[in-house]
Amino acid sequence: MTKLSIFDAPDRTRVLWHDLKTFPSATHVYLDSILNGTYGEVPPAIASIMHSLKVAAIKNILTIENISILHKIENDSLEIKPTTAPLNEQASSALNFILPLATNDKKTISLTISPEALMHSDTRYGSTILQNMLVLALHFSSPGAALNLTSTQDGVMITGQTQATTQTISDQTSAKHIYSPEQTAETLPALFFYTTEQLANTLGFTFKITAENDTLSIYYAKK
Amino acid sequence: MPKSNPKKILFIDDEPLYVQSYGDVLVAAGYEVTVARNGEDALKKITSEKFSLLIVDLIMPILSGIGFLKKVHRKKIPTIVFTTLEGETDREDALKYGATIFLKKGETSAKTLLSEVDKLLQK
Repeated sequence: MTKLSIFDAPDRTRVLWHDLKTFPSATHVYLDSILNGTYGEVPPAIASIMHSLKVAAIKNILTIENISILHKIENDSLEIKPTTAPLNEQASSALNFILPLATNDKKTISLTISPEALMHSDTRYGSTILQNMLVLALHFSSPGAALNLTSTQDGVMITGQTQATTQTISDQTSAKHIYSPEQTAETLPALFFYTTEQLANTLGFTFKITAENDTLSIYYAKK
Repeated sequence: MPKSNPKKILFIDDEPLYVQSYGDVLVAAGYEVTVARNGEDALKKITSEKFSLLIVDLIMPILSGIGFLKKVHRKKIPTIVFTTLEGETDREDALKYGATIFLKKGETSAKTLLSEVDKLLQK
């Protein structure tokens, strides 16, 4: 397949990703600012619409970032300079960014991430993996229980779990096949799953989703 | 609460939504915010006015953020580079040419930006 010429010029590609993200990112920040009361109290009906727009903007940003990362992996141009960052800092950043997506979502999810997985990953991509894990967790949700995510004070582990049973995952022994990249009906989670798997692999870690009994587990740890 | 002698911030960004959403929070906190739409516009403003802090986007028309920083870094003005770019090279270039801190636009809330501005200007 012939590449578009724009992808042959690194600088142009860099600007292209920047430009793609600018509108949803600026929209997200602006709506956030309004919803936080910068200009006074927002009527509930309008706030609800604004919240939906904000969620759509966040999804848009994450999608663009995932495509950008996949493009870098496929072109062998991923910049990885391992840094040691506090896990809590990354968890907090990922949670703050992703929590607007969680409204009204319900799930039975267990998130496990080994400390070294993020501590020895590039900070930026460690955060992306964490964000993608949360998006996948939210996508698996079904009525039953609220998502409860916590991060330990010492930065050792992040866990998220709920108490209810969900039919959507109870009979799966592995959720991976649900999100095969070819499955176009699940384009967004497929993209998030595939990117996370590729990125984790590039960083030297394992990312997998399994389901057993009532619990869907998302796991990210050193190989 | 408006301050009697507000510190001046030059916010250099070509995206009006960013400038408005972040800038309004800084103004509400009592800072005086002047906007420049690109590096060249910022150079003009910086020669005629004194600023306590610069907030600089990297990708802008006419003169980029790095191009601007190369021209002004000797002035030693505290500078926040504020961008959606995520590459390590971008961060290194920004720090090399005088950025005090490097923040990711979009993922940084207006409140967090304000907190960083407060910290830098209280030094």
